[in-house]
Amino acid sequence: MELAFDSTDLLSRLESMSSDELDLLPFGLIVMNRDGDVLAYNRYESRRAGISAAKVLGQNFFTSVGPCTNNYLIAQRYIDEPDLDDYLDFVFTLRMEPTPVRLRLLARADSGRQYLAVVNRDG
Amino acid sequence: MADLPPLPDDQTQSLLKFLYVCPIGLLSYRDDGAIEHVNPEAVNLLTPAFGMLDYQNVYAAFAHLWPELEGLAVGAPIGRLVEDHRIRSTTGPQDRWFSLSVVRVAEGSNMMVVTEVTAMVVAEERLAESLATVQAFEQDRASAASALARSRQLLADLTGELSRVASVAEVAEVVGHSCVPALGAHVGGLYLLSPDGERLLMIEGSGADELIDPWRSIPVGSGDLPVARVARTREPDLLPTAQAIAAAWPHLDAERARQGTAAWATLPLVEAEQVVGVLALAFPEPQPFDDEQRAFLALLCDRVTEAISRARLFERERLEHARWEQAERRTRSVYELTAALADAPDAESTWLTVLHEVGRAAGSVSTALFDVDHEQGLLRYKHQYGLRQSFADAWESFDLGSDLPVIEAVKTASIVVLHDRDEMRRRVGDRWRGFGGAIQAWVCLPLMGDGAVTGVICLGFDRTLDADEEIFMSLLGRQAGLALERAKLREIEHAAHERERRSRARAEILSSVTGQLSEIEGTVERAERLVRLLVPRVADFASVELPGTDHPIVAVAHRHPDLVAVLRELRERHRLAEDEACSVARAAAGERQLISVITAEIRSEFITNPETAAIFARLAPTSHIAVPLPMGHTAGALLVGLSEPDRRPYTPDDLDFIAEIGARAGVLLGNAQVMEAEHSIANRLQDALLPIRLLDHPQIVLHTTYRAGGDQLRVGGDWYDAFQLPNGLITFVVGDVVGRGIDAATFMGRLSNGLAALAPKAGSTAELLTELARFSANYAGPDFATVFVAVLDPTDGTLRYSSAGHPPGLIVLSDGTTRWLNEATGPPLFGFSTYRRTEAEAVMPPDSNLILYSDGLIERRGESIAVGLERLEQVAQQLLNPPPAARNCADLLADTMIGADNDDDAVLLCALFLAQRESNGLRAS
Repeated sequence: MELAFDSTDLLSRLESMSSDELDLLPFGLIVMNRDGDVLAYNRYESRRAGISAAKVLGQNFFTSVGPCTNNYLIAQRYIDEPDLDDYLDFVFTLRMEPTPVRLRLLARADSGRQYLAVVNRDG
Repeated sequence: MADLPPLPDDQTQSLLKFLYVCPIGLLSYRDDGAIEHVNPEAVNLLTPAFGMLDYQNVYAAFAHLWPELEGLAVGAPIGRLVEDHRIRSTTGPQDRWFSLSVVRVAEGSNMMVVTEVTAMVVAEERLAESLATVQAFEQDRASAASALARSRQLLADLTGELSRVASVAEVAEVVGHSCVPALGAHVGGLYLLSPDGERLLMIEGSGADELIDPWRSIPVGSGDLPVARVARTREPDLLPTAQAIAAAWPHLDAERARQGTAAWATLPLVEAEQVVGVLALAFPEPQPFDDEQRAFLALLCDRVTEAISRARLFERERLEHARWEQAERRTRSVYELTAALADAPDAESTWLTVLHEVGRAAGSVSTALFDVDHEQGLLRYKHQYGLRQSFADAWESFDLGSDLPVIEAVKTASIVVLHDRDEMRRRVGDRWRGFGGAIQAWVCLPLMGDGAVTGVICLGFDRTLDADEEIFMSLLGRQAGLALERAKLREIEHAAHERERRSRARAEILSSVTGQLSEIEGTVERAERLVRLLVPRVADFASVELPGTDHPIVAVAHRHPDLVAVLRELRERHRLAEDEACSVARAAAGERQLISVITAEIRSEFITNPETAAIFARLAPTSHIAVPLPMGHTAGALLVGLSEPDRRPYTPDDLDFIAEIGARAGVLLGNAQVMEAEHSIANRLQDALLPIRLLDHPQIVLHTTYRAGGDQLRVGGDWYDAFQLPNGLITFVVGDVVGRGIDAATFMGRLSNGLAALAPKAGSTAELLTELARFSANYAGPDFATVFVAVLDPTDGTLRYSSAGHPPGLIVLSDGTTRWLNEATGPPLFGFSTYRRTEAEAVMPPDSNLILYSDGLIERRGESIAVGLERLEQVAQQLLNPPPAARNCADLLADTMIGADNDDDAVLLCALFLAQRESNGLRAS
């Protein structure tokens, strides 16, 4: 069963998914520890951004990978809200092209990981 | 999953990574605004700040934030288009600022750089704030400078005001009304040192009266007052606060508190190292009294001091000028007095002039004048004005022995001045009350005549007098005294002169009356001349009247010609009234009358008829004299009167004079009356004696004329005659009895008749004249008579003639030639009765004229007889060649020969001898 971007149980499902499983997801997904360091950068996102996961793993996502998220709309939400599951329409500059996206911000207080899911808004 | 783009190569990934983390927002767009590339930092900067923008089109994205962006790039040159355009975000907890720069990188391709500049803006704002602080500080400094400028301006204004003042009072006013309020003081006092240097006197206090009043006069020696101490030390006393005042002058703290004063400035006014005054200022607010304010106050004090000294100088100058003007006015007063006194016609008016002019010149409120009578030892009151009547009444005269100030002036011959009311009371005792309350000083001024005091003038003043004035009044007294002396002398001289002039004028008038009346004839003419002589020299109107006759009003004259008729009417009315009291009737009866002043009582006594009264009022006589005119048989009266208001009324002296005129004129008028009567007799006689009808002969055209002389009153003795003798001869006679009047006329008649009676018996003209001379010798009569007799034989024109002292006859021939009948001349008739007279013979051709005449025809004054004869010859030749028909040749000749002014009688006989005719024609019976 394929996991959808807007699945209600997305967060709990992601907790138990391996990197390979993540690469199979039909939307972009970045897994970070609670400091924002990238733990996983799935294939979908990597292809779209044009950056291999190897170049981003271990780096702080907000400052060194996707600086467009380093603001109160996104980065601050992960700091302020230990339990987080919210949608946000945003624009990513994937390969420096403005790309309207829908983001899903996910975090759980009892977990050491947090997630950012990305899907194209116009399909 | 298949549509996912492949991963770029590693180098590109690095480049992408570089761009992903680029810390500057970058954005590239085409000219239509379509965004080609944008980096994450751009989105990271803009989106949180301004919400989700349209990252597809930059113009849409910045439509509100930066509308000018659209249109910026198109057509612009390559290069930087905008640098550091700032936009501001206000959505977050803090405002954020972003800097946008636009670079046109290629045709159609533009890049925008976005950076956040919030920190820089904050820094800039801080800088601006500190700049503003600096500016404010600068401004403060500037306003401090302008405050200085204001105080300078204030000083300049006050200096300007002070420079215009002309008196100390005005300085005080400027200080009080301009300086004190301008300085922000609420109480101010300007003190000047009193002339004795003892006190400081407040000449100006500004502030409420109750704050000023205690400080109006401050002794300089007073140790416990700042004004006095400043005046002594010349050091300003500047106390900036209430505490300072309390510390310096603890005993004045209550007064300070009462004034509500927070600061005092007590400043010396120093001129040439000397304190002239003090300026005291009290302020409601504490004052800094810093260097600037001190300097300002010191300068202000200098200006006030300067103004005071200038004003004092000015006042002194004005005072000097006023003194000079007063001196000049006094000099002028003396001149005016002298002039006024010189004009006074007599002593009495000189006294009055002295009274008023001296009083006026001296400026006294009352003046009294006294005359010194040295003989009686008295000072007599003459005139006064401005004093109480009781005072004047009490001072009728004073004994020269008394010790009154007025007597002292006589004795010492110098001015006596009672300087005040105490002195007046002391010197005149009880009488001093008469001076009246207003009089503060009294001056007794002797009037000096020629070495003696002739009078005293007392002057009362409502003010005190200075020494200059006393000198001035002495001068007035000298002038007045000299004038009185002069007036007395002049009056004596004038009176003598006047008597002399009047008697001369009277003699002249009397002589004119006699002379001029004698020159003319006729009672009326003489009376007219008389009244005209008297008006206006001795009368304004005059009349000569013969009361009781048919024409009683003989002549009237009035100074004003239009009143002559009125006067005549009045005289007529008086005559008709036949009043016993009528002055003319009484004057005619020999009474001399004088009414020196015709009063209303006299008028109403004499005139009862209202119409007469009205006429009388028009004439308004003021003085009247009526005297008799002794005219012999008739009794006339001469009436003279005055009506001009400025005429001196008639005096008894005038009456004597008019009576004298009346006496002389009466005789002359009487003579005229007699002569008139005589003339009318003589005229009648002459008319009777001259032939009524002359010869009427066919061969003779006879013309005669009688010309009376200008003097109508005197009938002449000239005659002519022509008659035919029984033997046919024609006798022509012209005679002249010398003298006039009835005697001459009578004698002429005798001679004429005698000659006519003797003629037929006489053998010749010589015999006829001899007989006539003998005949006339029997009669007493005139001394002298001349006769020319010619006898013509009409048959042959033979003319025999003889002359008894008579001018020669003349024959004028028809061709104009003439023959004088100047032979056979004998002496006049009288005294030559035995003289043997001769006869001469001449021929009268037909159409010739015989001209016989009396000497009145040819004689002219200042001309020899020969000239007259020659003239007659010429005139006769002209007029009688040929003889004019239908004209009286005698008249023609006489008209030409005798001018209008002949004064002698003349007769002329002109006989044209015609040739004998066949027919004798008609002859008058």
